[in-house]
Amino acid sequence: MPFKKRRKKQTALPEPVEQRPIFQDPQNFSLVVEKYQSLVFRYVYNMVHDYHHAEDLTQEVFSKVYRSLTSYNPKYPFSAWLLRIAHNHAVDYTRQRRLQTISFDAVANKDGVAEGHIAFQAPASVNPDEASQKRFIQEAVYRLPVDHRSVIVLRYLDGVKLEEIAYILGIPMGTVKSRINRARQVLQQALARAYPERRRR
Amino acid sequence: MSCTAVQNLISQYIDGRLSGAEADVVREHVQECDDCAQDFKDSQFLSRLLKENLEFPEPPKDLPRSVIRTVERTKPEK
Repeated sequence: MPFKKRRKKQTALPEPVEQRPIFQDPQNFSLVVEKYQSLVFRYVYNMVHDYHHAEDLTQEVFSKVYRSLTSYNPKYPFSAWLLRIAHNHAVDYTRQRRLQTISFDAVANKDGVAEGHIAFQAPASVNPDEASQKRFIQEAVYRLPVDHRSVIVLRYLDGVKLEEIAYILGIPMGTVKSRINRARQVLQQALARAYPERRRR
Repeated sequence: MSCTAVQNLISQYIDGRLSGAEADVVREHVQECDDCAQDFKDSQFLSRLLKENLEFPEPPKDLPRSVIRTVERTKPEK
């Protein structure tokens, strides 16, 4: 699905210049890597939750990108195309490593809210201090099934647009919205269980 | 609008993705309904937690060099 070209960022590389043959020279391709490495790495890190694995996977993603440069379709933002490749690669990795949690739908109850697969323990402190909240939310997001984790991470990663999330994940916009809602419901319930005192204030 | 319908729209409201008319309906409902007001507060709290606490570390400084070493051993697909 085509969507509007993103506003250009302050950068030396306007899109979609990355597909030009000049970038098939590895030294020139390093400009593409430098520009997008942070985006790809931060997404992959949140999918696998391991710094060193994220580093390896990011390298592999850029290798794939380099080999596929000629297949990039400029009607999509280059960053979204990169994230699509990164997402597919991270999903393959989690499947191989059996890191993926149980399918959301397989454990969803009649209200469509997953149960059982997020076994949170409330932090020792009753008052949700900042450090425990940070740990809690990172852990909670990581424990989401991959298909729900990906929408939440993309939603908060440099403000990726919903249309772009749909393209990156290869799903309709309506599914993106419903996954965001359901993921938030699960996180909300986990939050209420972990911090019951907060809700009563 | 029912509480369920409003609660389904709250996260879109917080993200600023609702039209003016829908946003008005959610805002008015939340002002009058204690349950939805609580749900609204919880959603705002979760949204803030996600914005402030999701971890997005920067990659190692030598990553581009490592990538280039890898791609130098490969050729783009024709």
